[in-house]
Parts: sequence; structure tokens; C-alpha cells
Amino acid sequence: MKFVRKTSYDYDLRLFPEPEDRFWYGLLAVALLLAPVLLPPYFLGQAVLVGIYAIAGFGLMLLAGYTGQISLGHAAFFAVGAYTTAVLEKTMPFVLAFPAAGLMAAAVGILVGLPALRLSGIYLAIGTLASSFIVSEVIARWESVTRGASGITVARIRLGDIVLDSDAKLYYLVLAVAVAAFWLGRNILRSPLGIAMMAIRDSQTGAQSVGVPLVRVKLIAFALSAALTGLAGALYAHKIQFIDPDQFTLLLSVELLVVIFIGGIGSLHGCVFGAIFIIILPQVIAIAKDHLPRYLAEQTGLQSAVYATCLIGFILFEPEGLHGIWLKIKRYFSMFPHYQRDSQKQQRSHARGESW
Amino acid sequence: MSLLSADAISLSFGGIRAVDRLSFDVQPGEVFSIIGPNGAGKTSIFNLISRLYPLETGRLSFGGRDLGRLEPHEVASAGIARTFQNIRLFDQASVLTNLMLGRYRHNRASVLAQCLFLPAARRQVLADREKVEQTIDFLKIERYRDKRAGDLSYGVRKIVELGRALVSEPSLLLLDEPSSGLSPEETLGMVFWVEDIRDKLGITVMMIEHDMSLVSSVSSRVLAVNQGSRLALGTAAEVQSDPAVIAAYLGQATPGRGPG
Amino acid sequence: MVGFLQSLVSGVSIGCVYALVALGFVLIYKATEVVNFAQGELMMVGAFFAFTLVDMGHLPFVIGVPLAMACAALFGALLNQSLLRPLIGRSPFTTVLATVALATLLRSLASMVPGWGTQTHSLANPVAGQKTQLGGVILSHEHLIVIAATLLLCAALYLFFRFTRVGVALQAVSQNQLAAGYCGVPVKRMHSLIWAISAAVSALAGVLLAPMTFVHTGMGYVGLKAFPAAVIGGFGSIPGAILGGLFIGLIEELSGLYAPEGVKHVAAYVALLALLVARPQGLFGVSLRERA
Repeated sequence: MKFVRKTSYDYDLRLFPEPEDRFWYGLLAVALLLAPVLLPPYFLGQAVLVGIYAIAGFGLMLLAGYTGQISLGHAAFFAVGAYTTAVLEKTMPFVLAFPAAGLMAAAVGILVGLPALRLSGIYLAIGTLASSFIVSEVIARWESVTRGASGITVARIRLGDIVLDSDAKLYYLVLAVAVAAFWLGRNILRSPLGIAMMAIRDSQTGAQSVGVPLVRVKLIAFALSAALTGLAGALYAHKIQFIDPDQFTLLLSVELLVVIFIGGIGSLHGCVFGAIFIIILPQVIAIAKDHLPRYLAEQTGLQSAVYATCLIGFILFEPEGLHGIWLKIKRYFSMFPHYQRDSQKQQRSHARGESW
Repeated sequence: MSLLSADAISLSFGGIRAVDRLSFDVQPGEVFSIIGPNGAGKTSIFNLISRLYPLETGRLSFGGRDLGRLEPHEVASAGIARTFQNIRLFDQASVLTNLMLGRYRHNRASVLAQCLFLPAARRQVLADREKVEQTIDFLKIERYRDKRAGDLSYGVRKIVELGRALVSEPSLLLLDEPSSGLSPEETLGMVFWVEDIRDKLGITVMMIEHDMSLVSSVSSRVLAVNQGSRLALGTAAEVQSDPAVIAAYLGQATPGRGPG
Repeated sequence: MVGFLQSLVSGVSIGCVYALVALGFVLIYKATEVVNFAQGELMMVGAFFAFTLVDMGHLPFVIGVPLAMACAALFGALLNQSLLRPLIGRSPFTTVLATVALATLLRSLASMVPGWGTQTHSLANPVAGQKTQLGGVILSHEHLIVIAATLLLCAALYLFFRFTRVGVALQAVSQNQLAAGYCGVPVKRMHSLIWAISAAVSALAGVLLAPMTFVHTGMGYVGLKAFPAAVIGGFGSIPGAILGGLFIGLIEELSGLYAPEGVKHVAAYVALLALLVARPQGLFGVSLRERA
């Protein structure tokens, strides 16, 4: 079993404190950089989507997982980012439109956050749901800008002289943004702001008693969360190259929640696992269809049913998500042969919740 | 000049007067205890000071400043820290994180600096960590440092909450029933801590307590309240022998019971 | 003027449906602290039960509908036992996610049942198409039945909760589960009972909604409007949920009449946000603030 001997406070602040962390992450970095060479083109396209969902997931994780503000309407921010970049790029280059998409999404995030400030728990969840319906309706109706139900076609990204006309080139951009988003998340989490967010999740009264300004921190969380998801939406618009209101429905909000839950609430890594899960699942279903009785295989509802069942399965049996499973595996190997089935179990509380 | 002064403060819930035109003041450096039967309004006094509830009447001032204009989180910035009767810790976080959070009011790093973890943010976190480790040493909770707060026993959680209040370097510390749920040995330990907090850390303490031995051992002055208004104010001995106080505790010979 | 009165009647009528769904939602929340995002889907399933019994099974309407409600009750209790009971004590976020997943699951499974599928079906009812005219305003009998049924149901529930032993026990559970348990109330069974009642109420809502929207797997989305209704009423309050539902129904119909295109779809949500900003606990709700 590994024993860590810390000799300075700096240790706890470093992103990769142990030499073996640096080794494995280094290996991961090499693999990620070589992916376009190693993966067949179809899978590369899927990898781009994984990156996009992971970035959106980071955003939602900051708000829901860390600050405890459940958002059932994150699809709205995704849509705002996608539409902002699609509309602005008719007149300005990507390097301006992209950050603008993030800023616009952040602004909408603050607008959504404001009524949500005084709300907690369920009121908050419903408030975010209501806000996202309103945003969708506005997008659908504001036809002069968004072309309503007809949608907008989106051109390829131009960075100076380079046109990102293949999945491989888009992949590197998405990878860069994902790494930056991840780094941003880790920075926040090791700073006072990050722990203030977690404090708000666990006990708002306790947080106030140490001087955390609830309103300010919640709004910052909403803004950052919406901005990240908006940037993901902007990248999505360029991957799919055509956006219309039907792509940004409640189902997308649920998918994002699935990403962070199945990935593992409370872990940024988890978002990546969750994104992989959500992109791979339809492929698995498609393959499995060949082995199913014909009646089942033809159903349009099959994919949603499988999603929902997986989510319920995880909620009931593996609430720590894929990240939790990953930790259990690591722990098994490090504790071998002393590992017990419940080594990672935590106390349950049956008292009337404070978490709302 | 008094550190905290309450002037005819009141608070009601529905028809019930929790605090009824109460006045008192707390001198710097003293340990000021509040006693009274259950439901007497003691925690409501703390909640008024923390600005969790608005004042109905009267005025509260701290260091000369009117508290009535502050938001709850600004009370902490003003230098008042508190513990809660039912422990408001951050259960999902480690003890270390809970304590680091107690330093929040001293944070000078901007949001941008934190997002990019610029040197300013790094310096802030390291400085906070120094202070937190000093408090960990003071309270002797080193072995709980990385444990999840929600998994700890009640007595240890109380101490961690005390630690969170201490790391913010307050001028006034509000302790809400610090000995409730503690064993007699742990309560004795609390006596020493309160003394150390007053003498070594120079913090003024206000304490709600039921345990009379703790109250008698450390208090400079005691305020007895019942149904939101003052029954008696004086030294522990004076208050304990006051007939009105005895009557309020249902005619027992000595109010409350402590070990020994 | 006639248009206004007409809208008023439709508004009250659809409002009753929202009120019933909101009622089912609040019943579950009060007793179990679970926020049931699948309430709309429970309504949809109940409507499909009725459709199966009445239209496919050719049972008379007055027998088929109560039978459907009974089936829905059983279904609700089973759902509680299999999905929600293991989640007792877990964080509210988890239960929200579980009911959201449940909603998706019910919707997809319903579309896979032979005979239900993805088409819309009409539910034959005895008063279809009948109307009365009152001073220029056309009152369809369907609307009137909706209002009458809602009133009857609310009265029945009021009597149940106030005067029967089980009803009082349910009230106890909704106020303090732990204490009720210590007093000998079988809390887990009470949870199943409340889910059963809630599902039956929602099934009735589905039957009442069917003439307006027809029976189809997307019916549950209408149920999403019930959340603003429940919130506007204030989460812990049953009369509040009913008034909230009526309020939402009226706002929707009136904005359809007077406001620009598209506002009607989001009127409920705008009203919700406006209200929450002014009064975070809803019109009748108790403040959810932590006691320090």
C-alpha cells in the first residue's frame, strides 16, 4: 500500500504531485496527441464529440457538482454558445466569435442565475428548467437573427490561413480547449473560490458564517459554468455545421446531467468518462440491435430507454459513477490483497437534509 | 468601550417573542456566557448577531459599527466567528478544506488570479495553509486532517467547527453550546480551550451553555435569559443564586447540573 | 368579451388538469421529500391504461376509468418500491436525477408497447362533442366534467386526509418521517400508498386531458407545466398546488388570446420566474430557510 510522505504545503497544490502521476499523464498526453494518426476517421469524429461533451460537462460540474446548484436547463447555454458563434461568424473571424460565444453564454448564465439566487434545491432546479424553456422559445422566435426553425448553416473554422476542414484539425482545437477548461477547473478547485463553491453546496449557513458572499459566488459559478458550456456549444456548431432549435432540447440537458453523474459527481475526470459513455452508448446499441428480436430493434424509443436504464442502474448501484469505479480499481491494486468490497463506503445520512 | 453592545433588541417568530427588548454589552477580552432554559431565546440572540434574522427593534453594534446594515457574510468579515448548535460543517470535504474555508474572509486574490492560479492565488493559499496548520496544532487534530468531515464522530466534528471559527482570526467568537454532546472529559478539555482562546489568542468569547461547571469555570460575566428577556446579569455566582433565575429553572436548588 | 369568457372557461379547464398533476406532485413531495419529475409521465401512463381498457378492451367508460386509476395506483406503488425505496437517505440531486431518468424510461417504454406506439390515440368519452350555450359562450361538456371531477376529487382527498386514520398517518409522515416512524406508522408502506394515490390522481388528469391533446407518449410534457403550478402554490401546500394549477391555466389561455405568438408556450415559466423572484417560497409555501 502506498504511503505518501509530504514535506511541503506545496505538495497539495501541485496538479501532478507524484512522479508516477506525471508518468501516466505524460503517456496520456502522447496518446491524445497521436489520436488522429492512430484512430480511424469515424472514431476521430466521435472523439471530437467526446471532447465537446466533456467541456460542457466541466461547465455543468462546476455548477451542479461543486456549487450544488442543480441545473436542469444547461442545454440553453449550449444553444446560446452555438447560435452566437453561428451568427457572429457571418461578419467576424472565429478568433473573435469564439470568445464572444463564451461571454454571451456567461451573460445568459447570470440572467438565469439571478432569479435562482434566492432559490435552493428544488425551486432552483425548476427555475433553471423554466429559464431554459424561455431561452429555447426566444431562440426559436427571434427569426431575424436565428432563422427560427429553419436553422443556420455554419462554415468551417478559419484560423488565419488555416481552415479546419477535417475532423483531425478540429480535434486538436477541441483538445486544446478541453485541456484549458480542465486546467481552469483544477485551478478554481485549489483556490479559495473553489472551496467556497463547495461550501455553498454543503451548508449555505456555514458558508455565510465564514464570510462567503453567497450571491457573488453563485453568480460567478453560473457565469463560468455557462461560459464553458457555451464554448462547447460553439465548437459543436462547427462540428455539425448546421444548427436548429430542435438540437437543444430538454433531452440535451438530461444528457449533460448523465455525463456528470455517470462520470462521477465531484470529479472533473469523471466528465471525460461520462462523455465517452454518452458517445459510445449509441454505437453499442447499434451493434446490439443485430442481436435483438426484430420488434425491439426497430423501436425508436430503444436508445432513450437504454440511456435511462443505465442512468438508473448507476444511481442505484454505482452512485460514484465511472470515476468511482476507476478509484475502486486503483484501490484494489494498491491494497492488494487486503481490498474489501466496502472499502470505499461512506456514511449515509437519514436526518432531514440540509443539502437543499 | 464595549466590543459588542445590544440595545433593546427583539425578534419574533409568528406570535412568539424569541428575544424581547434585550440589552447587554460585552467587554473586550472577557468570556460572556448566556444561560437560560430551553427555548429562552439564546440561539436567537446569536442569530441576530450573525444577521441570519433581521432585528425587529433595537440596535446591535460591534466595535462601534452598526451591525444592522450588514449582510450575513459581512459579519464574518467584520471579525465575528461562530459555531452552531447543530454543527454546520461541510460534510463532503476534508477537515483541512473545512478549515481552509474558515480563512475565506482574508482572501485577497481576484477571481481571475484564482482561475489562472497566478502567483497571487498561490501565495494566498499557502498563507492560509500556514494559519490553518497553526490552529490544527492548537486543537491537536492532526490525524483528522485529511479525513472526510462527515465521517467523523460528533465530538471531533465540534472541535473542527471550533477550529474553522478560530482560523478566521476573529475578535469575537460565538460558541453555541460548545459542550453539548461531549463527554465529561471532553467538556473539561473545552474549559482549557476556552481559557486558551481568551488568554493566548486574545479573542473575546460569547458562549451559550447549559453546563454550569463550564460556565462557572471560565465566565467573566453571565447573562441569564428567559422568554427572550433578561433575568439577571453578573458574575456566575451572583447569577446562580439569583431567585428569579432559580425560579425560571423550575425551582431546582441550583440551576442546571454539571459534573462533580 | 365573449372571447375573454371563452378563454376563461378553457383556462379553468386546462388549469384543473394542471392542478391535478401538481396535486399528485405535491402529495409525493410532502410525504417523501422526493421531487418527482416523472409526474407528467405517470399521467401519460394512466391515460394509456384508460385507453387500453376503454378503447382497446371495449369496457364502458365509467368502469374503465376507475379501473385504470386502480391500475395506475398499483403501478405507482410498484415504482416507489423498486426505484425510490432504495434511494431513501440519498442526496436530493440523486432522487431528482432518478425521477428524470424514470420519466425518460416511461416515455420510451410506452412507445414500445404494442397498440400504444408513437401515434396519437383518441379516448372515446360519453360526452364527446356535446355543448351547451350560456349567453354567447360555448361550454363544452368535456370542460365542465373536468371542472366537476376536479372539485369532487379534491373534496374526497380533503376528507380522506382529515378524517381517516390512514390520512392522518400520511400527514404525520409528510411532516416528520422519523417521528412518525417512531410512533408506529409504517413509513415505507405509507410512501407506497402516497405514490399509489398520486398515480391515480394523475391518471384521472390524463383522462381529463385526453379530449384536448389526445393520448400519446408526449403527453408528459404537459405535465412539465405542473411544476410551475406546484411552485407557485408553494411546495408544501395542497390547496396551493390547486390554485397554482388554475392560475397557470388561466395565464396560458389569456396570453394565447392577448399576447404575441409564442408567449403562450412559455407563459407558465415566465410567471414562475417572476413569482419566485418576488417570493421564493411560492404564494402559500413555507420558507425553506435552514434553521440556524
